[in-house]
Amino acid sequence: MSPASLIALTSVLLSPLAVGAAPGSDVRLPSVPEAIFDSHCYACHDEDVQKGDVRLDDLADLPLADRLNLLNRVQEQVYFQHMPPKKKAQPSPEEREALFDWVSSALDQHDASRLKHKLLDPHYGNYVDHDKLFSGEIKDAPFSPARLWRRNPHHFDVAKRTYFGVHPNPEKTIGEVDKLKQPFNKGSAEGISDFAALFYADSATFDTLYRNAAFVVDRTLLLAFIEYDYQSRGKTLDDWRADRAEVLKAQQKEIERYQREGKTTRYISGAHRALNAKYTLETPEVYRDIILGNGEPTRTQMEAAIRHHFERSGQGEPTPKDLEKYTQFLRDGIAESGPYFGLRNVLIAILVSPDYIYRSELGHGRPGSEGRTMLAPAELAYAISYALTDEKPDAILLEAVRSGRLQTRENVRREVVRLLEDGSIEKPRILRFFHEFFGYHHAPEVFKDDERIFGGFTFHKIARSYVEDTDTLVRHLLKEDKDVFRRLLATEEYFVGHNGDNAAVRAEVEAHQKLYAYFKDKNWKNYAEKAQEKEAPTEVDLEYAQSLHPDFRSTNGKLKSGEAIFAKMRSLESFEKKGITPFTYSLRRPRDSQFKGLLAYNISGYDWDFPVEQPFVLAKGKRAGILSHPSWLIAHSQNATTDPVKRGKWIRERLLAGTVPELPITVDASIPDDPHQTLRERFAVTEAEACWKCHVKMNPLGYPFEVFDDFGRWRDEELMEGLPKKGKEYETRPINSLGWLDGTGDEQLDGEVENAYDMIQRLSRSRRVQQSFIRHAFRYWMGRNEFLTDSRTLIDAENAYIESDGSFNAMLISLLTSDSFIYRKHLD
Amino acid sequence: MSYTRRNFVKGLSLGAGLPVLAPILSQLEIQAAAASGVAVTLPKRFVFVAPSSGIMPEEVAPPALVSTGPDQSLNLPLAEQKLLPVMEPFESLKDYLSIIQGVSGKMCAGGHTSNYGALGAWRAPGEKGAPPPKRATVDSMLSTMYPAAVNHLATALTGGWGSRITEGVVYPDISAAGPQKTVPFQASPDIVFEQLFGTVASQDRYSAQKLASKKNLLDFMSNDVRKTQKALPSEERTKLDHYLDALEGLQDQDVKIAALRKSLEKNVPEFTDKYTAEEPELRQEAHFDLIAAALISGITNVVTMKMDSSATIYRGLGVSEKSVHGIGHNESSNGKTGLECRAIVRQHHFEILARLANQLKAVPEGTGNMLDNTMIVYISPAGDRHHGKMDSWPMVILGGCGGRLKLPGRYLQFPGYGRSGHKTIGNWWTSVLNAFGNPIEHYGDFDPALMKGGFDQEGPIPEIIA
Repeated sequence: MSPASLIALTSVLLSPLAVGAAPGSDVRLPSVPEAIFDSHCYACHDEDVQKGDVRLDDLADLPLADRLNLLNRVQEQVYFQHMPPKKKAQPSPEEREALFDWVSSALDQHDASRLKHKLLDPHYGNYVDHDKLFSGEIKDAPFSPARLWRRNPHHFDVAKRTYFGVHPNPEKTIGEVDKLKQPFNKGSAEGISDFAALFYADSATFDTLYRNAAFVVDRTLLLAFIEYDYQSRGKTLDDWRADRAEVLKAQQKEIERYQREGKTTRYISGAHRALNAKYTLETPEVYRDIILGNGEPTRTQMEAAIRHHFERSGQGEPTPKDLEKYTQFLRDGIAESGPYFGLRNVLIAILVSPDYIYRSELGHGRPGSEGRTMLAPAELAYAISYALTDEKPDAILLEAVRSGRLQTRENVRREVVRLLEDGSIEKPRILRFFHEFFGYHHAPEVFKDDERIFGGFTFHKIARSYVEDTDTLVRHLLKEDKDVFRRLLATEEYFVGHNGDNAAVRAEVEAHQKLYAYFKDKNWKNYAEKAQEKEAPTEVDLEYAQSLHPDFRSTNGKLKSGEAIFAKMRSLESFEKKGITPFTYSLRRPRDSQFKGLLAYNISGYDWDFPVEQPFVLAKGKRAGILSHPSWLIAHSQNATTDPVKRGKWIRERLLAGTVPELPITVDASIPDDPHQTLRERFAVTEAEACWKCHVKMNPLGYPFEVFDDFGRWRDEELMEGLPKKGKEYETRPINSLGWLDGTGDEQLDGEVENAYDMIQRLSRSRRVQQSFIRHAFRYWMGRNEFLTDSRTLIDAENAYIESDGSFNAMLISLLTSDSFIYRKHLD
Repeated sequence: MSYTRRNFVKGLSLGAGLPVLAPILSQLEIQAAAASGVAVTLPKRFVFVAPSSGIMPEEVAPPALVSTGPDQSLNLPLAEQKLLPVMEPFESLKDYLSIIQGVSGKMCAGGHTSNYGALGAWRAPGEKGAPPPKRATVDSMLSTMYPAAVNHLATALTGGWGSRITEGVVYPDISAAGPQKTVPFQASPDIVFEQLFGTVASQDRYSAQKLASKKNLLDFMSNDVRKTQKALPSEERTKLDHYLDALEGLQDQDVKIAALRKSLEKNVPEFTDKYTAEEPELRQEAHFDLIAAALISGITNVVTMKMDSSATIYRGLGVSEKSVHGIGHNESSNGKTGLECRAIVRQHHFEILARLANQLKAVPEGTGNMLDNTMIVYISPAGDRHHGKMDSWPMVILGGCGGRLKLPGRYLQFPGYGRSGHKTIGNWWTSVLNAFGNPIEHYGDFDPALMKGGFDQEGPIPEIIA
């Protein structure tokens, strides 16, 4: 198929998502496709021959359900060019296009195209032709479809804290917050998944939202409600206070009873506190005025209440239309069921309304060329803010909307740059992109038997520290912002047990060294709790110790007693005796888990001379970039083994922008459990002809990682863990890490590779890999798969990246100021 | 038994104050009706339980019958058979037990999961979720045939195939309410509790007013959404259609739940730590307590439960080293082979099913008990093994099936794939639907390979319909 027709084909399919149904009631074979069927299909699929059990000549006579089913299969075969088989004569591009159009319109008459829905899914993003996207020959003006984008779980997490006034301090929590349940499901567990087209609020979402809303509203109105309730029963607040006093007295008695019975009272008082907590939440005046006021509230009072609620629930300002709608509902509610229930209903309604659930990106702004319109200023403010943060637009963005300074691409650029440059604004969305792209943050979820290397330490906690190490590297590379994609893959520099702030880590190490120097000649061993000749440090000693570092004064690490000094000194002594720099992570949490965790880096924690200045080269010529980090290797491993298929598939799809077909129906993909063979030897079953046609796309890219075990330790030999140990050790077998790289589109890079390091270096030099990063960034920030019409956006983003010597920010600014980001088009 | 409108109304009048809107007669009313000789139609109930790794034919067949080979056709009473040790929990329920072997499902995707295939008989591949559903699955169809306050209770331990999500709403993609409409499942037992029993478990003196104002709210929202919809492109309008459906469904549901108050009060389960536990075994128990209470109180007649996922680790059963996926690949764990571990998990599932069956059996209904009118189907979306080949789709069924199917107490094995008399999952579900009153000619896609051989695969299996 020629390039030009593929563009036409995919743009038919991908840009107007609803292909206009052909007039006429039923599917009949018009003459053009009949001729194509005749020359390219019937030879294998007619009355006489039915290869693969497919018969096409009686299509029109099949019952509707079967016909649609078969047409769906034909549509995919034609689109992915799997048929006719490569060795048969191929239809001309025009023929293929005509056939595709015909099949599509036949399916669309019944809204039955499976392909159309599939291509909206992130896992099918790579089916859009890569070379065409970057060829520069597509001149269409980019746009995103006018759409509603459902809010995601992160927005909810922020909103629930905001509501109870504990945002943005994530440490401070009140139990009430946790009673709210997440209404928004996250799609697929792996990869980039927050796509606007995929998520909608259904009955389950509504039900959860309603329960949440009723809960927060009831809590907020509680004290005013009590007053209202008592009044309605001819009582007063004093009566309520008397009732409360009784309750508190009963609670006190219960505690006393516990004390008498010698039971611990901690839990029962905790339970009482939780019961009493709701009475500490004051009802805001604007609500009290309505609930307890006399007669119908004024318009001003009602609007004030609505505004307050919008603000508090993180929705910004209500529009005049919102105010009109909700004041009317409030008035009606009060008339029907009184001020309390009237107000309660309005507040709930606001929290379950479509405006709360969906972010509107309909393109209410200025008209542009080719039937597109720009996002309106308010839409842009939300789009920009949610691109980088989980928060509603900040005051500056909202001011820009009000003052008409958010109407052009340059305006958008100004705000994007401002947010990016302002270090005080948290931008969790950026790191999250690298999580979703690489998937290394899944490491703690992979179940590993702790005993296998860590001797009983909880694996998932250790795995979290691997994720932190990788996060630190990502932040570091983003901060330097040069050659980012290549370095993410190929840098030999590592952070291990280090937060990325050299000055802070140095201060911490020095504090420890000073502490050791100060106490080493004192009798610190006698500070131990069980020392025979128990001694204690003087007040002056303790004061000095605490003055050395803020951590030594903080609640968790406080050096408040001789025992605390003893614990520190004992750890420090082991380092000092060996003349090595102490590994401070382990000192802060004086448990062995951090030391054990270092094993995945092939570091023996107790003997490690901790590098204060990081990043540092961990293992020259062996480990490079994120794909050699324990976090990534564990996230892409099985419970007890590596996973060459998963790793290979990841590289094929994420780095090479390639595709791997789904597991076919007939495959029994179990790997034999032979304890005498290495994993790679056991994988030989996938090399049978029927399996290999798909596995060839994955295994050769995954095998080079056999130089690492399933914890991410470098190895030359594989432990035969299925066999009994010989003495204290397992038997080993040499590993085979040879692999084959193809699909970079670069002859210099494709070919046999020796091991992971070799392959990673080649991948990092590939232009296609760089482009694949950008395609994935596009999907993440646009919330959809790319169309061919997005070609210009992608090329601009890559140019911005290249011209800035590999600046991620430059690429991101380019994406967020592209037509794909700011223009919308109604597709029907 | 049949009911006439007159009888129905008469039955209702037996319970003073029973709201006329109640779609179901409470157990007491049914008892009273039966005692006084009034003919009533007893509700039929269905529970679909879907474990994630496939069920191998030999994992459920009585040992003596495994060697008969899959090609032989069998229809034998189970009373004469010694069951596998994993089936020990069913020993006392043998009269209610049936085991089905040999219905194929090659029109569905096999592999790790066929997603909607098991209950829908169409090809829906994808470990990360299936393509949008093409029609209603059998559980949903039955729920519209036997409506209740909650037409279809869908609960789950986790989301889809490899899902680790065990809280809140999940989408396992095994059940559909219609084309493009996947059924959401609730994975938090505490929320299910609230949804089913919240109106009676909370003693709020304003609850009636709250319910009334919720009705106003839902009306207001429906109008508001319709207005908003007009300005949207068609694809986006669909999103709000889902929302409107949700609002309307809730409006309907609240009215019906309110009408069931007495029965709910009687059957509300005790709220314990189990409902918020993290251990999969405890959460499963909590879900099944709710399922039992929901069926007994009459709040629902159809339940689908996604039992676990490939990522579930049954630590509480002593299988702590490998997930369901690992043992499915026959990796050993805790010193036991994968198969031994699978047996442990299977027996745990069967204990839960047996407990539910016994709870239903203990409730008298008509001249028998509730289990007589219930069909509990244990079927895996993965089919006949961890990577299903779909030559056979083994199922374990408990319950009297309302006397509509000749199944209870039988071992049924259909002739092997492609042989004369062979049956597909489509024939199977067609039979079930026909037996319970939906005269559909054929439910499910046809198997294209069988089609080629001119194999007649349309219609029900007459010999199993009573």
